[in-house]
Amino acid sequence: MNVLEIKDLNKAYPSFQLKDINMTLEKGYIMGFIGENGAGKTTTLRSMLNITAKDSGSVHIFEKDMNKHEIDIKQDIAFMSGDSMFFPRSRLYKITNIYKKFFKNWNDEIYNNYMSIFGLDQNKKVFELSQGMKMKYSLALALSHQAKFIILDEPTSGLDPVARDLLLEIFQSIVEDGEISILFSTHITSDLEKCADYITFIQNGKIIESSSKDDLLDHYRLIVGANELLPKYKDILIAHKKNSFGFTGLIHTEDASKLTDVELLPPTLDDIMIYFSMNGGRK
Amino acid sequence: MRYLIEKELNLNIPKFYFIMPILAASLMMIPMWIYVIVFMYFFWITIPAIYSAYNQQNDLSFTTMLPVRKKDIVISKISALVILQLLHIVLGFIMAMVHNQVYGTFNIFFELNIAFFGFIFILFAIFNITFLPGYFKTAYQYGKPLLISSISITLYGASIELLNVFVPKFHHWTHSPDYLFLQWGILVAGITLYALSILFSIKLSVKRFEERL
Repeated sequence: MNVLEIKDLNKAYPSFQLKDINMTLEKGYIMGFIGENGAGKTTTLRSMLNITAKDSGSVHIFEKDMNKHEIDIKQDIAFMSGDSMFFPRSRLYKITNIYKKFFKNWNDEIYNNYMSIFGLDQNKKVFELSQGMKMKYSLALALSHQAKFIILDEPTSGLDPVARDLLLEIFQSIVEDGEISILFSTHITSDLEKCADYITFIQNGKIIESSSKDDLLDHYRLIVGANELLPKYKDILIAHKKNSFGFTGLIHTEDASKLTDVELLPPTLDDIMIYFSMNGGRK
Repeated sequence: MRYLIEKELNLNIPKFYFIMPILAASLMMIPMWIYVIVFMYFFWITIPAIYSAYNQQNDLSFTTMLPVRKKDIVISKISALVILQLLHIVLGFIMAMVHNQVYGTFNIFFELNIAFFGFIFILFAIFNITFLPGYFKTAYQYGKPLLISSISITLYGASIELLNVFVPKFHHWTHSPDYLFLQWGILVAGITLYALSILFSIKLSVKRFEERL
């Protein structure tokens, strides 16, 4: 079953545009949504959740149309943002006491269990929590109303490496039994190497690629060659960098068979992001 | 809906603004004053504080993710505001009666009588119509609608006071015991306009909020 299916989603602002966003996520997997700052990750997430109006396109969550079944769908999903936590001046128990009333499947036992596993003190105010603790509190809320699809916007931003690693481990344990799916946006590609099954890469409001992590890496190659070879390969390069020893560039793997006089290397997610950013998001 | 209003009263609106109506109403005990100012504190202090708190609390992201209708989000926010407005008016009315008992009714500006409270209901009605639909166009930018509503209510409040001082007939109609019927009429009209302003602002705000989302 597809937990998420976005078709031809468009949203235009005066200075930015999301163009024909398409992506699909199967139940029980983690999808990382990557792109540089300002590429359109947050806008995509907010448009798909009807937090911001979309201009066109369709969004299906749990195979139900978001426009027709929004309230039903929202009973079973959770969205949280790493950058800005809600009600910073309120105590956790006050937020929980209000929040839980909206969800039919809320379970106090699960909530208390996660609060104690995560070491969260209900009497603390949100602003007193570290960034990592805030994310854990958000997750405790999501898991206690038994959300089947958790969407996180930059959950690891501002976290130290230890807290980040811990949070990614929690993500993996959440999807372990195959019932819950996670979509999270990030610009920290090492997060994805650790725990994402699928990756959707957005650049300049357009989806460059949405596939499994291995397929994404397989679709591209880095080439390293002498500067005099650059004119010969310019047409197939997505983008390149020059230095005194030669040039390094990114190409589609299907173009690699034609090359004989350059070195070919597997790219990292960072490489793919950087070279696409250099050419402005053209495929 | 009940839970959304509970959320507004418990999480969104800082507790201090439920004490504000008492503080503002106690200004009724200043003798010989322009008492329309007592209600202006609601618009000048409480309103900017509540609407900037919504942004600071990230309320829109939180509330729009709850399994509730967009329409109910707007109605709950307006209902919470109406509760606060009525607190201001009712406590103001009680303190006005105390004022009249202590100092008598005479005032060089508008006296604290039935007509005065009719005009106050209209003051709140003007605010509701000029502020709420403008705010819900974006549901986060409150500066421009607040400026428009502040100018409108200040002009209105000043006009009532100026008419009272400079137009003897107006003063006579709104203060003389001979025109008690008219003064009650102003109160009834004020309450009616206030109720209509709530219905109208809800209708327009819901429409704008749904268009936005």
